[in-house]
Amino acid sequence: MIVTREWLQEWIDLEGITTQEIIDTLNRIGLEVAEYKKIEIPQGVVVGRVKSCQKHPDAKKLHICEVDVGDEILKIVCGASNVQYARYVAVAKIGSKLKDLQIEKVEIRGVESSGMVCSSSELGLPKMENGIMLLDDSIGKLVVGKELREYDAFRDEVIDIEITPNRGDCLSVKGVARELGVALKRRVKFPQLDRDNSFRIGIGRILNILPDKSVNAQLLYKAFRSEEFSNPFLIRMRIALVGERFENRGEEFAFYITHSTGVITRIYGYDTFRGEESPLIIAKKDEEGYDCVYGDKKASVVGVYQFDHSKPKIDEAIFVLEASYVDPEEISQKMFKKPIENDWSYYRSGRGSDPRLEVGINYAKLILDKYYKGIELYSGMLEYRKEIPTKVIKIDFEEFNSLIGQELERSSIVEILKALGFTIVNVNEDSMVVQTPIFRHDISNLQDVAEEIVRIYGIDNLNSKPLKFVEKNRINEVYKLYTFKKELRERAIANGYFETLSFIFNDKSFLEKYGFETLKEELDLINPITSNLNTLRTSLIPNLISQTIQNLKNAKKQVKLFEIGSVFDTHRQEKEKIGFIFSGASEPEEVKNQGKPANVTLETFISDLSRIVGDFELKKAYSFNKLMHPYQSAIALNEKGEEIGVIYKIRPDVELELVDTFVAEFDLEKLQRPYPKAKEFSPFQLSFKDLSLLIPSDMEYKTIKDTLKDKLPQEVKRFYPIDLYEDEQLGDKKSLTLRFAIQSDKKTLTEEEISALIEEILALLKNGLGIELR
Amino acid sequence: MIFALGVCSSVSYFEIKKEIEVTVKEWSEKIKNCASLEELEAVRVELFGKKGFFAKEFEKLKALPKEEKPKVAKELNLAKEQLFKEIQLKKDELLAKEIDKKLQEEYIDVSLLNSKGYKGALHPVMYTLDKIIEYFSALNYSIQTGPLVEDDFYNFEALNLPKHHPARDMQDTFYFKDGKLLRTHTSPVQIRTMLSTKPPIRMISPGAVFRRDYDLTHTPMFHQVEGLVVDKAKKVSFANLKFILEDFLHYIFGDVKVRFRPSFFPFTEPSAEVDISCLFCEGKGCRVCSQTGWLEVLGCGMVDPNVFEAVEYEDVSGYAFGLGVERFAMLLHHIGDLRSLFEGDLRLLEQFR
Repeated sequence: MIVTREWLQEWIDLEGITTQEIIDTLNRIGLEVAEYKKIEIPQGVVVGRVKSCQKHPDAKKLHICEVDVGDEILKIVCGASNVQYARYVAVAKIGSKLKDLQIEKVEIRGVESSGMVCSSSELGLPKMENGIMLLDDSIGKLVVGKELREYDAFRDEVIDIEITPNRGDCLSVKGVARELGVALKRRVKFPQLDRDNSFRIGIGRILNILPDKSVNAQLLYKAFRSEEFSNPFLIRMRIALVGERFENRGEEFAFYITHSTGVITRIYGYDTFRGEESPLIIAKKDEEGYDCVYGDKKASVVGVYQFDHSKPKIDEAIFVLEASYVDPEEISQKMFKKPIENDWSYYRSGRGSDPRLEVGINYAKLILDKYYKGIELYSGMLEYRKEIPTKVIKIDFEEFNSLIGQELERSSIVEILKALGFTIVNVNEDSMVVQTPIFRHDISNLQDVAEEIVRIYGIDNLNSKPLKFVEKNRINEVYKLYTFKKELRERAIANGYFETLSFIFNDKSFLEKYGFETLKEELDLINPITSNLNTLRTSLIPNLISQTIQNLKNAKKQVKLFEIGSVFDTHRQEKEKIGFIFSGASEPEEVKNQGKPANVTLETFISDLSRIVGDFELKKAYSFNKLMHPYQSAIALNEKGEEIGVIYKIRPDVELELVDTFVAEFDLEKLQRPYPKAKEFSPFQLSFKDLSLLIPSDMEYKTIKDTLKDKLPQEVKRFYPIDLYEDEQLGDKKSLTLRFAIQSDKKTLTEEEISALIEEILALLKNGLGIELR
Repeated sequence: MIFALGVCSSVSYFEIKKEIEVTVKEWSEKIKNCASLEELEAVRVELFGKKGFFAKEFEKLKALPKEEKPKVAKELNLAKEQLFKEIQLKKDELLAKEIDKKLQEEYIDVSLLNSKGYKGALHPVMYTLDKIIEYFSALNYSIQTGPLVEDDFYNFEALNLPKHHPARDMQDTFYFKDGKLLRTHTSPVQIRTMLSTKPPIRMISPGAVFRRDYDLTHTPMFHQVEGLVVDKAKKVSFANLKFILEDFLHYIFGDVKVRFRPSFFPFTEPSAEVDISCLFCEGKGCRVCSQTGWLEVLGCGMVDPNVFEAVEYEDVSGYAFGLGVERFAMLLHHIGDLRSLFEGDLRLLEQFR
């Protein structure tokens, strides 16, 4: 909602109040000022009058004008097509400076030009029309040679206010003025016409209204006649400042009245209603159930849209001015269910326009009288009205006080509510009853009224005090998971990984191309924001990869990232995961590696991961997406043998500009484990025995591990591989050395006892897998 | 020479003594000149070994007249003691030198060593979120979460945002083909928590939210923290809300001014937006605060009765507030570009090591 200081002045006396004070006040009462700008016209731009205007002999599109600027007559070459004899224009004289343009005497196609006739945009104003700015006395008496900046309109201040959706009543200059009036304790004036400017002929002589009872909208009509209806400069400039532009002069005028008063107005060409018989406005519902105005055809949907054919045509001289109101709740529900084309009016009607239709009509009369020539108003009006129910609200003082946390003076409550237009129905010891203003459809309960009171009283002026509450253990599962995640994150960064965030969106074609799971088509997004964010991610890895590629492009030699975030399965079930990526150099470039650190290996990556997520076991991956290296991919298992994640190298042949890159993704929930209970440990001697076994080349260590697990004598505390040896002489076998830790809980074992245990292990291996010592 | 000593018994004790002194001097010189522990050891053996100098000299004592024996023996013992001490001292000296040399050989230019580039860093948004959670946990708020894919009911309807409400324009929503949506705020967690527990409630819900907006100052995903406190009717007041938020903002941003501006949210009434004095210009007006001197950081209000009605709560009162974590992080850590927070760009992240 854009207003200007001068425009506000029409409704409220702002004498002695700085614009900064206005802005602060608006912010304080809940009308947030988003932007402020002062119009500044450069010095040396003056009012000029075109004395003569001829075509340039050597250029079709140029004019040579003589422009009176008071103390002299300037010869100026002008390129605008709308320059006309006798019109008042803005002239930038020699020596003035417009934005970056220094005005100097120049020769244009052999003709000397001493100045420039300006368009609005050349003066830093919004674009108003094609060509130069044509001034008129709507900005004040035009004096040739007078600096433009001396006119109030050209040193106005523009304030852009963000109006919250509940405050349709503030979508007008008058509405903002009313709010300011309450806050600044100044009266809002209603500009009055000194005399009745109506023409003698009654409106009934030229037009009638035929309303259908089913229509809920309010309608009020006035007609006027004008041979030469055109909107004055001031109105067009203000509309441009608001950021609107209209092709139709009638619509332009109606918008101005609406923006000024908050009453939705429209102008129809009289032809719209000239039927074959007597001219008639028909108000009825259309087939969709919208309240509409018809002539021969549908002319407008009340509060929503006006059809172009009903707007006044260029040669029309009789205009029908309409003020209307529709219930905001009703119209927005209808628009939600059956949306139709809409114009600037719906933004207001849907949020609640002013139902006091006379205000709109009277203001239009005033503006016509003030700025327009040759207007003949028909006397009287046509109307269709239904009563708008008013709301009565009881305010329990105790409830009010407990809501805001302190007691406010009753007199100040009454004063504030009265100023806001509430009617005080009665006041007694514990409560009061108020009636809401007709233009405040958004107020319907005590809380709403309380908001109005604290808004004006000033929230900053309210007390602040701590709440007394009952202590309660609020450590829940979410909190526990949060602290677990925090631990993981701390460990990840201690191991050199950077935490990252990415959108939960992915490119479906990427997921499909590389064989990732995707959302079922019928569960996918309807309205993605871009095609590369058109589905939900099913894995953290694609985003980690694309962030890594970007980092490598930025000349990073090592990329270590991790992310904790939600992913979705094909049924769109959400699951939280932690993903890691390690790409490029295994360590920083430094003296010890002569600046050429080796690249990361699967071993490095896995030892990193183990330091972060804790112990896990690995087995060969059995199914692959198309990014996975077939011989360096693994499934991670927890001690119960459940799959907790996947770890793999990115295939070197995928077209992703990645070298030596490893990724991992774990199921967050499955990484959590309880804090263990201690077991007793043996005080007796621990011995280590190494066994080198000859095993088939294609045998996985896991097979041996699984075979021995649960079958080993209890004196064998643990075992682990320590050496792998492959040699041509071994043929299709390889040598794997395992180290066994042997210890009894009861005594120190003798060499013979240990040898017996070794024999037992060898027997297990031989019987289970047929493998023997090398 | 002392060798002469044994054979020439006529030589006086004093001469012997003198000779011993001379000989000791020679040995001392030898010890002093030892350059290594090996050399020193050789000298030691020469002197004190089984066939060494002193062994021989004491042997010769036998040949001396009885009355001379003790005197010469005494002199010899004194000489032995002295040279023994000197060898010890020399040994200590050589040992120290040797260790010193060994240590010198282990010299490292410590300034060449790299102690950088090994640690990662928390993401500034998540770090900020940690700080926020830390505050509210300490004040006995529970943490609650909810699904990212939501029903219209939890995200809008129950929050007093019926389908036709113009305020829905404020939140451009991602929809799914089956009618579900991506939550546009963390507020649905309020509804879920109220439906699953009884008052009193004291909770925050941090998490990702989604709006269909992508430009310089908007990303389709960002993070919010929502707060909700519900207690018996007439118990929770706007004053309580003011207190907690003022305290919270001081905890996070330090010594700033806090101001409340009336505003509108469909699910609270009265509603307010909260500003802090600009962190960059201390309220004088700059580019970050659009010359206003204030930075908007929070939205809040008293829970609208329609919300309580939607979850069938009776005779309760409560407040709610919400904030954008990215905005907090950007202000706290001077990050200029919102979008950079979602790019995993190490040029940014490495700065938070």
